[in-house]
Amino acid sequence: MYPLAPEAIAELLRALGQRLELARTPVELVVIGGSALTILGLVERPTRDVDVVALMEGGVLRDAKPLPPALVEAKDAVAADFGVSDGWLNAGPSDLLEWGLPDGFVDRLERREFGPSLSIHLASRYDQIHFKLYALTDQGSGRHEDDLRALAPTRDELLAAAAWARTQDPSEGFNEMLVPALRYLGVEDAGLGA
Amino acid sequence: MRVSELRERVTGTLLRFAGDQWSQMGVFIATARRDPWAQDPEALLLFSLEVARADPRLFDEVLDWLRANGDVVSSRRLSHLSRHDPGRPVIDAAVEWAAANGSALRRLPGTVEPGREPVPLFRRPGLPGREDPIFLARGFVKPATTPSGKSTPPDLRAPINLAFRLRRHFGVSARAEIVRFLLTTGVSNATALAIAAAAASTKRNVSDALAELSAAGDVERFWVGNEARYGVDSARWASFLELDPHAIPTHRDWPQLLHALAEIWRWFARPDLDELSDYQRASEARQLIHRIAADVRHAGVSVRDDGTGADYWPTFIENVEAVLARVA
Repeated sequence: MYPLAPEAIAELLRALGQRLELARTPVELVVIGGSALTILGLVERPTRDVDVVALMEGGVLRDAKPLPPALVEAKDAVAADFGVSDGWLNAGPSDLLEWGLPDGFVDRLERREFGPSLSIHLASRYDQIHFKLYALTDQGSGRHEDDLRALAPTRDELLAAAAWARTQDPSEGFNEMLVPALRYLGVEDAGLGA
Repeated sequence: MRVSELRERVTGTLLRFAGDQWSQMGVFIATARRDPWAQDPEALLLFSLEVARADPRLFDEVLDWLRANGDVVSSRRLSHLSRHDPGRPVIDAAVEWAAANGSALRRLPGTVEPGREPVPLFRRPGLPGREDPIFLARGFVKPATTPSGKSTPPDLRAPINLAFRLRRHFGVSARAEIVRFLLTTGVSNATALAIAAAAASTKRNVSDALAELSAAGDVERFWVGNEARYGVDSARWASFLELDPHAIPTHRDWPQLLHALAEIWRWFARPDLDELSDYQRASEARQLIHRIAADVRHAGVSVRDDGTGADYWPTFIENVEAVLARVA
């Protein structure tokens, strides 16, 4: 998939909002990752897609897999209208919901409206540090490291993120990668036992 | 071009086209037009009974024609062409009305009972009056229809009426449709599948009819690998039908072309069209063109997809104009 410039993400979401308005189907999405960081203005880089971690219904998080049919129809129409891949909006990270999001995640969400039928709840900077540390440990350097450094996490924030990351993957192997990752980010004495 | 202007252009062009076609086929409407093509009666019926919902007079005259000429209409083709079409309930009502008023046509196979409250048949409400009971039973509120009695049989010498002429020779059958397709296209190596698509019939029916026609020497059959191919001797058929061999009626892929035009018609009839944002309208327009693209291409019109978001609208206009040009 071609990278989507920050302004393109906003244009796609506005279009999605209009398609959902046509379908008379209001939708609230909880979004993490590069597109969320971009919309919040925390980083400015092209991103590949919009990562939906959950749906929000009546203030409660719901599994985003599978995406609701009206949303699929709307995002596919937007893909055709703007010549982007059907996967420009996906529920790829929705497994995070099953293993538990950071405590207080919902309270820290930042809401943006894209027309009357689409609300996007963006993961906060604090929570993005959690997701990015987990991704950096799991997938290695690259854009995750760039994003994490752009977020300029404190030692306490990285330790909180590390504790949460271990709930996602409690294996010893993951822990053996997490400790060096924290050291790489400047946290020498994480006290994680590896 | 604004949507209202384009709507008027589409509406005007298609109503004129439908009226001109039926005028050449025996409906009491004046026209100076004499088209070079052979029309597909069932595809035209399906199309016309949709667009004529904006022209009650045309609608009632087509009904009258159906009453008077039902013996040269194929209920099997009509049913086949309309089986997935949103216009099917109107076709069912029209056929039942014609049958009740003396037509040789009978209720179509696969007629479905309406499971909804009746809706107005015509786009613009007329004066309240007695409702047509047959249309009402099929789910449409329509003023009672008295046959005008003005329709005449098709002039079998007119190019547009080749289908009827062949049906007079071969009966209302797949054989007539096969000869019409092979003669008007001039294709000398058609597959059974291509013929079946044009004939709007099952491959089995077409295969049986092709076997009969080739056995009689009316159709030439040869083999490419293990696939049979078919053609006709145009000069021989022209002589038999007393046609100028240089002015044999021409072919159009009417089922596909008219289906695409009916979809375009329905799209412009949407009541919410004027309220949509520029992006929403362009997006819906693109969806429409994507839905009908296969039919449009089959009918020989290339489809363009240039322009993102709201900027697709000029491309949509070009696409619509290109389809309209096929019937101009």
